Amino acid sequence: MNDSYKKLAKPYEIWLYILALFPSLIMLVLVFLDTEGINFTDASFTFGNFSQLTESSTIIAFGNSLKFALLSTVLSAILGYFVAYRLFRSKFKNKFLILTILILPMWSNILLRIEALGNVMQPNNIITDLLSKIGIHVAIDIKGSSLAVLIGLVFTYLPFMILPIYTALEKIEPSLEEASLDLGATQLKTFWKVIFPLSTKGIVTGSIMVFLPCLSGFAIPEILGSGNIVLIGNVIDQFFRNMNYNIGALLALFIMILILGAIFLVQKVDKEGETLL
Amino acid sequence: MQKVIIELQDIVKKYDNQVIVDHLNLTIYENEFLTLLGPSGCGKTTTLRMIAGFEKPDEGNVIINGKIFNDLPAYARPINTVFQKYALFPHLNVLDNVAFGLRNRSFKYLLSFFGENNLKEEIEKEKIEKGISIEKAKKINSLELRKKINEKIIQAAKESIELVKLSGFEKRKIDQMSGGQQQRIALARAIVNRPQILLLDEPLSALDLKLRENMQYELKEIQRKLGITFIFVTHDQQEAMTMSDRIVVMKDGMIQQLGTPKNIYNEPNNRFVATFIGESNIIRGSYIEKNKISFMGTVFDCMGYTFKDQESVDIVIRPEDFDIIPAENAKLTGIVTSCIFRGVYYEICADVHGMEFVIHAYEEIEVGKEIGLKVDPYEISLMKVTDNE
Repeated sequence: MNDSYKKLAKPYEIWLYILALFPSLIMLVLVFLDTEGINFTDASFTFGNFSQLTESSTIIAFGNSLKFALLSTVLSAILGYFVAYRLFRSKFKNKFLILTILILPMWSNILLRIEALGNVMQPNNIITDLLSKIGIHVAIDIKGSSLAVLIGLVFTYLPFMILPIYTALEKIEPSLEEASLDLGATQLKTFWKVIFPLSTKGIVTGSIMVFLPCLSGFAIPEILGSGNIVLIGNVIDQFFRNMNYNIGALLALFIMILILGAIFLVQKVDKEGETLL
Repeated sequence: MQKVIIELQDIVKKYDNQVIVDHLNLTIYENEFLTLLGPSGCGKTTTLRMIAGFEKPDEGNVIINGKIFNDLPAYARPINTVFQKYALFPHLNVLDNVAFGLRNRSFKYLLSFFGENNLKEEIEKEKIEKGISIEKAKKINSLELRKKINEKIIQAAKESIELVKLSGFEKRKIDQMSGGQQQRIALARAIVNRPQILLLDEPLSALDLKLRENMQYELKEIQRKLGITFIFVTHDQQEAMTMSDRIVVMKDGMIQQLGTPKNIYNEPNNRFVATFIGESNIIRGSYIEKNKISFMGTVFDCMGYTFKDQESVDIVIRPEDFDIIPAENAKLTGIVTSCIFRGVYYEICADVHGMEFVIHAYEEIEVGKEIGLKVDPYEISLMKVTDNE
C-alpha cells in the first residue's frame, strides 16, 4: 500500500483511539476498582467485582442471550438462505432493486421499528383496527413473550444474513453447475454437492453478523420482552443505569472478549479471510 | 460403414431473434474425432451445448443412438464435457473431482456400470481369502456391495488420473494445480464415466503453445485408446488439422464445409474456407473446358474439377504449391516485394501483374528480383464463385 494513502486513515485512527480504545481502557481500570459512579476520588482496588460473574442472575441472563442469539441465527440462516437462493435463481433483471428493498427497513431508526413491531404485537393496533372495520376481529397479544423477542431479532437482523449468502451464491461459476449436471448429478444432487458447499462461506459470514448483535444487544429484548426477558445486554444496561460502572464494565468486557475470541477463531479456520469479506 | 451415434437434424437456435445456428444437419459416427471449427460467434459452441443438453434447439432434432434427445436433461445423457475454463469444483480435491461423476449416480446405475456379477465375484473371492466358508461368502448384502462400489469408484478415478499422467496429485487442492494440470483433471473427470461421447469446448485455448501442442497429441492418443467419439470445438485451425478425423468448418451458424483435414485444406469449398484454413492465394479465373482454366491472361492445366465451360471460377493456390523457376521459362512472372525468414521457409510476397501473391520457398530471394512461378496441375483447386466476401 502506498504510504501517502496511509495518512488518509489517520483521522479514523484517532477517532478510534478516542472513542473505542480509550473507553475500553477506562473500563478495564474500572473492573479492578470500587468507585462511586465514575468518580475516582474514593476509589479502592478490589477483585470483588469478579464474584458477579458467578451470580445466578448473570448466568441466567447469559444463557438467555446465547439461546436467543443461537435461535435467531439458525432461523435467519434458514429463512435467509431461501430468500437469497430464490433471488439468485430469479431471472429478474434488476436484482439490485430487490436487494435495496430488503435493506430498506434499515434506513429507519431501529428503535422506531421495534416500537412499531411491538405495537403490532399487542391487541388494539392499527392493523386490527383496520381489519375490524371490514368485520374481521383478530387480536394477537404476544408482546412480552420469548416469541416476540425472537421475531424482533430475526426481523431486524435477517438482511445481514441474506446479503452475504446472496453474494456467495452469485460468486459461484455457472459452469460449475453445468459441469455437475453434465457429470450425471441431478438438480437436487447438484444443489447439495456443489451449490450448497460453495455458499457455506456466506452462511458463516451471515451467522457472525447476526449472532454477535443478537448476543450483545439489549434494545430489542427490552422493548419486545416488556422486561420479562433479561439478556446479558439488559443486565449490563441495568448496572450502568444504577451507576454501578465497575460491574457493568466487567460484564461488558467479558462479552467483548468472547466476541473477539469468536472472530479470532473464525480467522484461524478461514485463513484467506474470505468469510469476513 | 461406421455406426451413426449422433444426428443433428435441421437444427435452428435463436437468441433474441438472432439466428445462431441455422438449419444445421450433421451426422457423427462412433469412434471418430470430429472438430467444429470456426471463428468466434459462428455457432460452434452453441451446437456443442445443444448436444450436451444445456440448450434446447428451437427447431430440429438432436438424435443420439437413434432416439430424440431434445428434452432430455444433461445429467441423463451418455455424454460428458470438458469445459473451456475446466469448471473444476474448488471445494473438492483432485480425486474427489474425478470421482464426482460416479459418486453421484444411483446405486442401480453403478451396479450395471461396474457389472453386478463382477462385483459379487470379487467380494466372494475376498471373503474366501479371509477364511470365510463358501456358503457364507455367497451371501452378499447390499452394504458389502456398496462398499465394493466405493472401492471401485476410487480405483476408477485413480486409473483415470493415471491416464492423464497426474498420479500422485490425488490429494491436492484444485487451486494448487497449474492450468495445464487442471486441464488434465477436467479430462480425467469426464472420461472416468466412460461416456459414449466426449465434448470438448476449446479446452486448450488457455494453455501456452508448447503445452497445447503436447496436449493435442495426448488427446488424440487418449481418443484412440478409449474409442470414444470426441467432438472438439476450436477456432484454431492448426489444432483442428492435427487432431481431427473430420472437420466441420462453420460460419454464421451454417456448415461451410465438412471433410477430412486433407480434403478441406486441399479442396476448399469457398473463399471463407480457403482463407480461414491456412494461407491461400485466391485468383478469379475462368473454366475454359475440361482440365483447362485461364487466369491472369494465361491458360493452365488443372485436374479433377467439372464446371460449365466458360464459367467464372475462383482459383486457390496455397503458398507452398508455387515453384520458383527462372522468369524466362515461366507462364507467370512477378517482382519480389518482400522476403521474410519464417524458420523452415521464407515467406515471399511478389507482385504478379498487380496482384500480391504469397509464396513459401526454401531459398532467400532478394527484393526487387523478377521470378517465375510454376504450379502443378494437381495443386490448383477451383471453387464456385460465391458472393459473400
